[in-house]
Amino acid sequence: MHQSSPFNHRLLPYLLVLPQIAVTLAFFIWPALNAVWLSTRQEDAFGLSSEFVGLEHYIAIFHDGTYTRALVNTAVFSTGVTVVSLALALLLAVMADRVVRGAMVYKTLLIWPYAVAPAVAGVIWWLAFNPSIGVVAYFINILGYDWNHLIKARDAMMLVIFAAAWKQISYNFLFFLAGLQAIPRSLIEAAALDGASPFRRFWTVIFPLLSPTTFFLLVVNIIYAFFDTFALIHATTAGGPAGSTETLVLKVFMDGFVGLDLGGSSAQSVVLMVMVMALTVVQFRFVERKVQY
Amino acid sequence: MATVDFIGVEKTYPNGHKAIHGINLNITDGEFVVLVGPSGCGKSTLLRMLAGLETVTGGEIRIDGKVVNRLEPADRDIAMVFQNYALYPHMSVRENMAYGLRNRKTPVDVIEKRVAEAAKVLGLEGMLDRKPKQLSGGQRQRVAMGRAIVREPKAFLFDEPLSNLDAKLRVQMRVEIRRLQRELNTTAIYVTHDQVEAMTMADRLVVMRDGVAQQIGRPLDVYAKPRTTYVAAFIGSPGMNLLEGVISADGSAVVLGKNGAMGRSIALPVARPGETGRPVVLGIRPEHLLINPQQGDTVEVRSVLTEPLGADTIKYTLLPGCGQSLTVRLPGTHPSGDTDVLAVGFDPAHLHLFDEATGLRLED
Amino acid sequence: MVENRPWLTVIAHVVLLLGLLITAFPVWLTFVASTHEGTALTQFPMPLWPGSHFLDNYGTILFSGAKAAGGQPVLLMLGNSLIVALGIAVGKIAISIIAAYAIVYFRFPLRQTFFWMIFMTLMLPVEVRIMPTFEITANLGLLNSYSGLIVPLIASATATFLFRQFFLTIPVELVEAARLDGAGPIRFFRDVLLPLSRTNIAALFVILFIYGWNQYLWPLVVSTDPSLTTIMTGINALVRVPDSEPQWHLLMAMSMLAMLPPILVVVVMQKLFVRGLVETEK
Repeated sequence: MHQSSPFNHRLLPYLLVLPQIAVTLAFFIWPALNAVWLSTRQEDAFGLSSEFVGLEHYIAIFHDGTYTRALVNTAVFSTGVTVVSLALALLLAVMADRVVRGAMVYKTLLIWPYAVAPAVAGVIWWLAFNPSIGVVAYFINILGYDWNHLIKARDAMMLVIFAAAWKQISYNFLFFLAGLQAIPRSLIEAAALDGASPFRRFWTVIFPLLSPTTFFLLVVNIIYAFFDTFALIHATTAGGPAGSTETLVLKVFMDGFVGLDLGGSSAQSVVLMVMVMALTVVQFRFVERKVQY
Repeated sequence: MATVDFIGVEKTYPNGHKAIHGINLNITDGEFVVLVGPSGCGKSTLLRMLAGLETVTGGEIRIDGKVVNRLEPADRDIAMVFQNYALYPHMSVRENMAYGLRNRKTPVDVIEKRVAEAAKVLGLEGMLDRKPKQLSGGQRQRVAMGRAIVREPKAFLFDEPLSNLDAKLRVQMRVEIRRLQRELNTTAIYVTHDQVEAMTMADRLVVMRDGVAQQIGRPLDVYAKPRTTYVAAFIGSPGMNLLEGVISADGSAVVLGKNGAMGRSIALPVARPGETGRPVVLGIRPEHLLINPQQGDTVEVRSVLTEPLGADTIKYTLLPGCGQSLTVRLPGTHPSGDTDVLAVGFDPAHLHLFDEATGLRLED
Repeated sequence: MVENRPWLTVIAHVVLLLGLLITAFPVWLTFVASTHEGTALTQFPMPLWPGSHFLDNYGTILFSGAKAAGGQPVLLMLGNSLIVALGIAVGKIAISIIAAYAIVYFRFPLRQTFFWMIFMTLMLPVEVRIMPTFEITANLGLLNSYSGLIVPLIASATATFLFRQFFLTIPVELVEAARLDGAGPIRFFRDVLLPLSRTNIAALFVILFIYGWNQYLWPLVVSTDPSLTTIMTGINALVRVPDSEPQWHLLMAMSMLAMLPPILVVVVMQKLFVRGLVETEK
């Protein structure tokens, strides 16, 4: 950071930050504070007046079976998405790092799903798994399992996990590949001279050296699964069947816009905000460490 | 072309650190003044204050008699060459040189003419459409010079402009900068930590330390009569030998060693009666020591390292009995280890005497 | 690799090809489905090879739309998505670069406060504060307007940080040289900083264009006007047709059209895309 101000101007800097700050205040900070305020109030049936109810809404949501179900769903969903997409991406990145010929082509052909909208990613896998016409569902049926995500809760969850993981693979792949390429060749050669087999080498040398990348991606994937997959779930299962794929962000929306439960939805918003903040703090602590590294 | 005056100039940072302690310096029109000193001595700060890049917290800076303390850098009509050149990476050489003139609404034909002239003087004619990235270090340095020249400023400011070049190029550019400045006859203030650059380029040099000008003078005057032990050690390569000692009982010599512990005395050219026992620092330059002189006192020293430079030889030696070192410069080549012990004579005409407590030069 | 084990390389290629297959497979199905008649998509499984109704299906949705979902022409939706994506990308870049400029190159009261306020936006994704954000947008009279679709989304901590980070790598001497050259803050921004930021702007643009194009929840709540339907809300409408299987052939044609622009951007500008992705995470 510069010691002294390169430019002296009283008004100009304020004018320069004004647009960003105005949008931030109006559409980010004010709504967030509003949510906190609304979460402590109860509106009457006509929405004409409201009274302070303290933490009642918070207590209520945690006693609400549908909320705790959404909590569990979110946990299962984000764990599934993170594990599946990280594992597949790491496998592909290690392989792509290995091949000399065609590495660029593979890279190009593997990264484009990043650009596919979550809603579209959901819809196209929804087609592939569709129990009455879907090709994947057909093959699963042949294997002896009667796939039907329209009725079976577990199938629906697996569908959204798979679609969400599929979309995230390209992102993870890029970062893993960059991480792998940053590992000095000499280290791997040293391990090879020490007689480590390729498999052993991966687990004892490469994977530990990749751990900063892995940890970073872990956080990013959890954030992705928590918040960026609303469209994917909403456009396909819409939380069904019977709330089995309803995650926390979906529930905030459903309760607020469909159920018109202002207080309860706001309390849920506040809980989610606390979660994002925690995740962001973890992410930035990590960035700090990366700088010192 | 202008005069530049520093009158009691001070700089105190907001955190209370005082970087410049009252500098007084009058620079005449067309003069080449070098500010020299180790890093952190305040030389760059002083230059940047003149440029308007740092505020002046005390005293006055005048250009052509006009106080400029509060003027914007652009309004001071000065040009600066930075250590890293600070060329605009996305602009061609031509655009880099023209940018300042364009901002001053100089007519296009004038800009073109001046850029062409500067390019010719600096040998950059074939490179006007290249980007800085495509140039070598020396060429970038020239472009930075060109950017200053086209402005036809009242003064050139140089902030360690040669530090990023290799040794050979540095010598070449040193000569070139000096030649250009003489040709254009523009006042120049040049900051460097390299005393060779300072000695060879300056009309006058300002030796700085801890925000104080230790000595201001022509290079050879500073060399011949350093005002303090600090200047004595800093100017010259290698620096002056400084030996502790006391004035002898009759005031005609200096007895070497702390409190004269070493017992050897060196005769002074002019006796200092009445100062018997005064702790002093005796200075003599390595090139003024005589080996096996025909006459006068000698001291036997033990050679520990020999550096053959070709034209002359540097021998690092130790004075017996007190552990003080003495550097000797001998003309011509001398095989190392030929004599481990040298008999060294001190030429009285080249002795310098400083007060031990203040480090100030004691005049005869 | 360090040693020569051909079979390992073969395995690598096989795994990568399988990866490509998984990546491409659903898109292939989507394409196939978009080229068949609606009736062909009732058999189990659906056909695996393209049909003959490519032009029919795409023509129908592009110019007249799917009847079951309100019948807005998809061409109009694509236009809206383009406007929204460009608006968001350009808006985010514009307000972020000037904010970063102020924060790096000026010292002024509240500078740190502003910095932290911008940082806060990272922690407040639209999904978690959807109700109150909707409310203030409604109060400001921005519902059912392009401004309503765009403006609430253009604050960007990521873009501001990226520019800040980049500005901090520019040597201070460059500003000083510019000041000596008679450039004030605005001229320095225009003549030096902006041209130097070109690559960063382009990389960011790729990422933000995709972000804007793929917006789903916000357009869904903020616009009910059919003429403001974006391609994403259009897909939602077609999926949500009550009490029936969706019209797969039209839905899939629409999905293809929704995927195409951002995928093209990524593939054509791969270098910038990768750079943007990596830089914004620093």
